[in-house]
Amino acid sequence: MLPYWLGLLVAAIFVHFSATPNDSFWDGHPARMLLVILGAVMGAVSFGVELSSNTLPLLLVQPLSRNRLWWEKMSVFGAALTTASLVMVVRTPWEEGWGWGSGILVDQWSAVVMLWAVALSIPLWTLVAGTALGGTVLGLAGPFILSVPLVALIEITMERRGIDFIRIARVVHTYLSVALPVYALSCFLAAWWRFCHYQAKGNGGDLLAGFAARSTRGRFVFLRSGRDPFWNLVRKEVLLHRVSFVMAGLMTGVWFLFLAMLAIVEGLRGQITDEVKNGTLIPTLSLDGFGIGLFAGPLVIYAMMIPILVGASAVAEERTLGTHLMNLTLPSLRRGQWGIKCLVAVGVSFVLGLVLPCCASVVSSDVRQALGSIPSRELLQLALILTPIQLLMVLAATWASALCQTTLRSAGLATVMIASLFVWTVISLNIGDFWHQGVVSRAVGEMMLHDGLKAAMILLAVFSVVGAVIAFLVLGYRGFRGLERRRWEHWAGFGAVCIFVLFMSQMAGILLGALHGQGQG
Amino acid sequence: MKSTDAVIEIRGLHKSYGATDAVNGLDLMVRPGRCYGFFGRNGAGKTTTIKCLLNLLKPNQGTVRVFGRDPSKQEVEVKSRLAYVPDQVAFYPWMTVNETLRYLESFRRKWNRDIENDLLERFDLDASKLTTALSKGQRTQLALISAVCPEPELLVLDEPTSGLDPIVRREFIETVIGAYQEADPERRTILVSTHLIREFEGLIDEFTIINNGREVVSMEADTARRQFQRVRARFVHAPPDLAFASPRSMRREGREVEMVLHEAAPELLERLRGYPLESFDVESLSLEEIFVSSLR
Repeated sequence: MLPYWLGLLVAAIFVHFSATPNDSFWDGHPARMLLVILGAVMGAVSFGVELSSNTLPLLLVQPLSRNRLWWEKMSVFGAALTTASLVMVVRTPWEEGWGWGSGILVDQWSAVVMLWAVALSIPLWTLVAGTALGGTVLGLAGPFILSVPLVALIEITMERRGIDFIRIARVVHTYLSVALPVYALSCFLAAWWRFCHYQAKGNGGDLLAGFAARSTRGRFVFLRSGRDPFWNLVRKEVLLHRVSFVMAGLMTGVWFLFLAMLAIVEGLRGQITDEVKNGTLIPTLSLDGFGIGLFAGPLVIYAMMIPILVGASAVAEERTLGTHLMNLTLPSLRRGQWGIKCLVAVGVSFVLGLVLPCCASVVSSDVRQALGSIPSRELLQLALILTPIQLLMVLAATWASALCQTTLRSAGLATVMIASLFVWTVISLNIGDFWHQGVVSRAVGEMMLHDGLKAAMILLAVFSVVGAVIAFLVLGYRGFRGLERRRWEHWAGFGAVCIFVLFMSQMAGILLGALHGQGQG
Repeated sequence: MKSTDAVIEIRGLHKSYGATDAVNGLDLMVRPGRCYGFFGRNGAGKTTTIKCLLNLLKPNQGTVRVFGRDPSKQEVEVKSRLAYVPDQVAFYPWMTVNETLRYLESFRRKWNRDIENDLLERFDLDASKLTTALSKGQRTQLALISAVCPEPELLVLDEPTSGLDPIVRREFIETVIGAYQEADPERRTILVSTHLIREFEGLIDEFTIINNGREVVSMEADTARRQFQRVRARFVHAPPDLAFASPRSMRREGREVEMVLHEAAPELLERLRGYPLESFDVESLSLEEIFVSSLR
């Protein structure tokens, strides 16, 4: 648990210093979300690793009571959560003053409550799912599924009484501060009972694998093994991402629940027009108030996690299952297998991580407005920016996956790599700016005015993305093909990608400088 | 025999993990139609050698040829002619036994359904069962079925009988492996790495024993049985000094002496018989006894 504990502390310190009254937890402040995710992973790791490596039965046969084993595990886990929570809230009172009037305290408190709610429920979900990854996904979804109807219910009752938004938000905070700990405590007690009555059922414990099996045997016949090796590999790759599909399913469930609640709110407010009642118009779902923040939080977590999770599952999930070797010895080209793996990962990530959240955002904002604005230039530009970013994220995660033995570990490595690459890109652009006397900043500022500069920038961005994609594909293949993984080779590869990014940013500086000069001339 | 005729040809194989030498200058040649035993203690380098053979590990030095081809360059050609059963068997948890077999069949040019049905029946495996519901032994059975059904020219088995109960183990070795090889004895080759040498005793034609990544003994099974002999002599008086026999191992118990001799010359046996004896027995060693005696 130690690396996750350290990660949790770093995230807590970051949240502590970066929080401002305007950054609500529910608006999806990335560091707070990262904190909750790390808490979830830590909780899942404490049991998930024991389950996946089959050491839990070994632990349980030791001459110690299960009760004692449970509390010893939980005391380490609790210490990690306590230190992270203290770091987040300890300075706030004397800087901002006590009481709910302090915006930071309320939001820090929300983050702490969410952290504990997610973390304490994770052992139960991990024991239920049978894997650390499944436990993490179910555990992260739980508090949000609980919060949505609760918030909607509060909004319905208080709006009818004409109470203002700020008071509603505070009431929601207070109710969630009670409901989430109750949920966490219930899950914790259930996990304790389950641990004390744990039955070692062998390999039958993977809930999500069982779910996938039922799906393939039931309605989704197209996922059954057929005669064509290509389609069999594609089917297998799709099913390897079962955790991502479950996550997307939960997200869609929350989304529909949210829409249903909003429809009820609007109905009760008496805002349903005659046109809607007659069925000639789709009901407008205008998200005002606290609800939009509540939906934004999970959406940000989801959109960030899907490309990483999909990429991380691509190779490491096979290693976790132990089927990697079997596939490598099949009479099929490894390069071909790798190609199919990457294509499926990119496709799944695109559908689940981009198309689905876009649909959620569009429909949740305003159906009529959204339908009218879908082919707009702004939306297409946004899609053009998000698609290569997601492509890079999923392929970086696939590369990380080729280096790791478990999906959870590869997801962690992918997160670190993507964050490092992002920070390095920012640093590289600043270095370029320094060398070219701020020409990058000036040129970027004028970019919207000069089509030539814009085209040059896009061209460089395309080159950067293509270069990084090729690097990730080549390095990932070297890890995937089963021959000995030399870690230094991969770190050298990562260094090469960083140098490439630096080179491209310098090129951008030179090119923009030249075009800027021409423009002035 | 020309080296190009060999199914497996390994020369000067060297593979290290950091500072540890897993395989150190190993030579191995397996001819077609043979059942080749590859024996060694835990950590001797057997699995590393097999992984180099299957292009799952890159050797530091030496050459590996399977069917005269380089498995790293002509991987599909090599892999389509062999089947491999690893020491730890795993399948996709969402697939049933039948779906797993169909999945694996799709990659093969040939698949004998009669053998599949026969083996499923023999092993009493339910084809509609999920692979997660199978025991460790049943998963090994499924792996063995999937390896035998494509009727490959080379079957590479790494600890194939671990986890199998004695009845299934016997059934598998005597019936399945035997029948597999008998169907085309000139071409079908087996490389088996195992600790359960006694179980494969009747099938092994040739073997190599390795220790610390180096070859210790490599010979035909029949030659080995002829060369490695156990001599049991019960002397009338106290046993004499028998250092001249240079035994590989010797055990004394009262007037009785038991020695393991390698390439004992007839003159040596005659000399022993020259002592006043109550009884004198010479018998061939089993492969397992040769293994133990070679590594002691």
